[in-house]
Amino acid sequence: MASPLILAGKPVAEKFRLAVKRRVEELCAVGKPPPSLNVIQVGDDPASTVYVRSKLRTCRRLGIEHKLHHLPETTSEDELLDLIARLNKDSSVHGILMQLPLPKRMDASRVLFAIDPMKDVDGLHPVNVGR
Amino acid sequence: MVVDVGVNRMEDENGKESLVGDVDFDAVLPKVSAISPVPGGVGPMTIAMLMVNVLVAYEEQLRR
Repeated sequence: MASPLILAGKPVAEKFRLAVKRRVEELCAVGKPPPSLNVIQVGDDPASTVYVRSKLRTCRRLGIEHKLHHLPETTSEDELLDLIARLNKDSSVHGILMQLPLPKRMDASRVLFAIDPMKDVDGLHPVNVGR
Repeated sequence: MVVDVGVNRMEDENGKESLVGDVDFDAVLPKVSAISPVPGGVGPMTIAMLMVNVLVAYEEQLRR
């Protein structure tokens, strides 16, 4: 049998990142505001903290505006839904990423459903799942 | 064909930590036609495609 193909994501990811960076520079050069990603993290799951940091660092490198809404573990579901509603309405926010997992007491599908499908950059809204 | 989305911390006999996937890479290597490594396989792609999605969402919203 031929030797297996190693599906190395790293160089492919680098190509995509570079393409995004170039496009953002192009748009900014013609006076467009930079794209903006808002990340929401509830609580302090250590793995989530690592992932969030890595996502925000990548945004910074590509010229994408980024903001972290780091809410305490004790945040109520309604408070979280209020924040999402606010970000949905804010036209300067283009992407909303809900870092999972949420505290177990929360209804994750209800929270994800609240994100405007247009801004659902993780593709977890029912309208986007499976596309 | 293996696409390994697992991320696990493993300690070797010298107490050195490393990241491994869910699949025993070296053991299955002779049996697969394709396999993604951990790290450097699925992980970097998830963040890169997130960035692509942000750009796509942004450009769609600009057009509205």
